[in-house]
Amino acid sequence: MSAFHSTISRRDFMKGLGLAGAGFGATAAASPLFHDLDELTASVSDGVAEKWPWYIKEREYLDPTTEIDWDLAKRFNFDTYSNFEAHLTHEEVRRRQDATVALNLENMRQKKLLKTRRDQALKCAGWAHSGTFGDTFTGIDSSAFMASGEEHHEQNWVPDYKFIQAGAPVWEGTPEENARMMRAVCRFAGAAEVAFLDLNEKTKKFIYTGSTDGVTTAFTKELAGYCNYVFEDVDKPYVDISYSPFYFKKQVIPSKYKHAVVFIVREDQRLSRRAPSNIEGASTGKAYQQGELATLRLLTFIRALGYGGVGNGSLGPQLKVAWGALSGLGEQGRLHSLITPTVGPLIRYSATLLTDLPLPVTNPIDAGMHRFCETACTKCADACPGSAIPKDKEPTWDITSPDAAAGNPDHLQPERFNNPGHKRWPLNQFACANYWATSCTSCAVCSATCVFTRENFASVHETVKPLIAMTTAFNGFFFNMDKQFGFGVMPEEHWDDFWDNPLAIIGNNY
Amino acid sequence: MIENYAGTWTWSTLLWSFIAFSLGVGFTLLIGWFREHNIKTAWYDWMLGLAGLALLLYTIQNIIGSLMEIVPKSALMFAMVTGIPSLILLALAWRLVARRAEVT
Repeated sequence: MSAFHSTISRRDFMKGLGLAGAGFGATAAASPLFHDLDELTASVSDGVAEKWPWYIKEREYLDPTTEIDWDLAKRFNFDTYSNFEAHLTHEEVRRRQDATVALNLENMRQKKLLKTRRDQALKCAGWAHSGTFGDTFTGIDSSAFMASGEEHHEQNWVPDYKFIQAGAPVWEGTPEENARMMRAVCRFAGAAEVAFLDLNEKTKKFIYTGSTDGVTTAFTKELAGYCNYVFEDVDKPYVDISYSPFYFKKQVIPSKYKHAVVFIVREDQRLSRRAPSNIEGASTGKAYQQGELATLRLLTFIRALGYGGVGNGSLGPQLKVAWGALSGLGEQGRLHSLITPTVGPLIRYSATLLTDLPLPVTNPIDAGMHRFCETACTKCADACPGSAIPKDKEPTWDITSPDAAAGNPDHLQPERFNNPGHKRWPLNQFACANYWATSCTSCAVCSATCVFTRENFASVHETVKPLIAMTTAFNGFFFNMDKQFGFGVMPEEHWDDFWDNPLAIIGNNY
Repeated sequence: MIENYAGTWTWSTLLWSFIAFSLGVGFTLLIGWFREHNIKTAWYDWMLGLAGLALLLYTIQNIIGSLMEIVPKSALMFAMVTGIPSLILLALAWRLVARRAEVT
């Protein structure tokens, strides 16, 4: 006989079961739970209400847990709202604000925990947007950072620039400390991977001499620039719109800005794999916004730290792929874009901030990606609907031929989009842009189909990537397997799922 | 299969917890059964079996991962390219042990 036995009889056990069941039924009837499966199903999966965890109950319409007297409630005049200044005299407001500035300065001088100048600068970056996005070249945002005279905001918080006016100590760190700091701020600001480089006679060759707003010189035949980027021995960057009798302007970069922060601006992979489509286009546009927002936050941070910087919106002044490859964020691939080790080329761009904040440099990387393009892969070229990507095995020093027929140009001027001086597969950017224009999408088929554009769920990717980096022996095999396994652009039958499956909530930076 | 609410008990967590639990129970029962029936095993039996098991787990992970990445064809390919060999290895290991048990 077993050493373990129950002393409860079968009769008592059944009685217990019945009591428990009755108790459960009574509890269920008493609480406002789901009364049937239909109600349960409707509550959790009708696609209208948010999909809350099972233990959250739904109440009646207009009946929150805070009780409301609908007869007593009325519209509130927010115009007269005040949580500070209306309750004090003007003199007392000024006295308290001066005390706040003094306290802030003292905290910085004593380097109190999370109240140093660096932390204050981060706070400035977080508040950088307020109203306008400002200028991603100079980082000036009227609401967050303008300092003019002695006026005080008649509100409880003291504008962040006041501590700079009051003589806060400039942040000082070693280049390595600054690099770690900038990586933390970049992630906060909305960037992904971060690298660093310096501005010297070589890297200066990857700063545009001029740029265009994309419209002004669109229909001119001459190589005219809308604005010019020049270096001058000045203290701060500025824009001179009186540069020429016409509407040309110059954007001045101080010569002392010799260090660079280079960061990746990602885009939503899941949306961008629906290429080419308007959903992919939405992802592209949002990522450009994200890059400009990140740039503004970072410039605000650098200025609040006591240094200066110039940014790089979507149109310049730094060549994005060049700075990304030189600083070690990825390698240039066949599709002409930067291929990153983490998400392949499915990024929006690598942005660069020039600054006088002391920073180290990071070196280029070799993950076998450029080599993979050279030895085995033509997937992007095969998939390109505009026939804009060369299928030649080896890269070349040449630029796109003026006789290239893709896109049916009237008179192709490849010197307007290909810069000589590096060995690559020259992208016929007219053929690429022509497809954008004629398909009413932002295409991105090349990026979506690239073998390195992979999400991080299947572990096979982390098996393949190291092998590609270490040897070319399996490149042909991996290229063929990538095609056979169906990796690349998302199957079209899933494209419309976007409208029924909202994006996961992933935080404020992506 | 990607949840919008990143709670603790995601489907992935539940599945791998179940697999881990099953493996623990399975190995315990298997070794107990070997002892009870006085079955001898060789080191290469275990090597083959563990290789097959590792490949099976790799297959399962990549099938699930491929479905999560919305690449259904890849899931099917993994089932064939690595899943079938894993079952073959496991079957081979089982046959080796069974054959030795029959002989003894």
